[in-house]
Amino acid sequence: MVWIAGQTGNGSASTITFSSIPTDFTHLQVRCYLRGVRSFGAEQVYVRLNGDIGSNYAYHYIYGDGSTVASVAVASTNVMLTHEMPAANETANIYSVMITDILDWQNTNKNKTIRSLSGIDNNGNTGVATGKAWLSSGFRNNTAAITSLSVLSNGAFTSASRFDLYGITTSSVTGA
Amino acid sequence: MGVYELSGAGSLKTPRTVYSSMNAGNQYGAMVPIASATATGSSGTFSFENIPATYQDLYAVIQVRSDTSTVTSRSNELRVLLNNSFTGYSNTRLIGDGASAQSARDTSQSSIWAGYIPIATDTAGIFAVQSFHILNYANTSTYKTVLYRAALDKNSSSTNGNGTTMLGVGLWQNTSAVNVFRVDTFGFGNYVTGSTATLYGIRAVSS
Repeated sequence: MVWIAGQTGNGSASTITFSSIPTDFTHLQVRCYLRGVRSFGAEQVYVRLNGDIGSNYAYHYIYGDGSTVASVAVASTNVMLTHEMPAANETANIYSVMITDILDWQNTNKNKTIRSLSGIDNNGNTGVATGKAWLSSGFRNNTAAITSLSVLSNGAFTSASRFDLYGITTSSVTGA
Repeated sequence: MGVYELSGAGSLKTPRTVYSSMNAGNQYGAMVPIASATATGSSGTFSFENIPATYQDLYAVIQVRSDTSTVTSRSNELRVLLNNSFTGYSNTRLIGDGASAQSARDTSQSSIWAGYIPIATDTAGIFAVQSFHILNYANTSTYKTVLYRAALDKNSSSTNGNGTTMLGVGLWQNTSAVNVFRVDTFGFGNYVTGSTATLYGIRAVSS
């Protein structure tokens, strides 16, 4: 695994994009540490590929919120939902974590599938957004190689939010 | 074979650092082993201390089994402590036990509840496998969130259940940089010989 690039939020941007991704790697992993700046109940976090805003995505998720388990599937939509991050009205200093894998991202014969592990715990503060542990997967109905990958929300990310992109190679020579 | 680091001019850099292999010094990969340990049967604690703050994230992997034969609350469970603190924790988890999917939460705890471990009354040779991600662990302005996966399968029902797969997220309400990562058996039993723990640093630099 090799670090490719990292970005931080700036308090005003709601989309963080990695582009010009080097082609040396077989798989990609995005590791994010997230919080939103606006006051909101459940601030959702999405992934979008190649800047495609068409209804070319689908996603599934299952989560546990401390008492119940829920699973949802959405088809023909324009983003892939991964999880919910804490918003401004959440207890201060709490951040969610998201780790997303994109396998075989350069293959031009396969539609693209992503998978994510993510979650937030807020010590039971159910007055805002309930803490949840999330397993999610997303699909883009397009075989094009990935040229850009965006992590986005409906509100901006805080300046302490962090986004890192890693490449995973199948080569044993580089030690990566 | 010794490997020496060259200066920019192509001559030997001084003072010289001798590496044991070609990859030992350049740290090209992002996932760097910090330390590892193998249990000898005399302790129920794996504790990584003095963790350097030079990485972006931490990632720990353990494979464990306890020698206790006590079957009681907590005796077949694991907990995580950061910086040896016993306050300010909570967690939310999603669990499948082979029969149903469940979710549970613990608030205002003295540790992060981290899943189940096989004990002496379970089939020999079965170990639990768990992994922990601590992103932004060296940050000193935000609380710490631990994302973890826990897996235990026993191929049968027993007094402690037949196994679980779990995804959990834990919170430590403390802004200190994480410099100690500890996972233990709640004081019940020792890790059996062959139990292992490895801590990795995830780098965010390109050289």
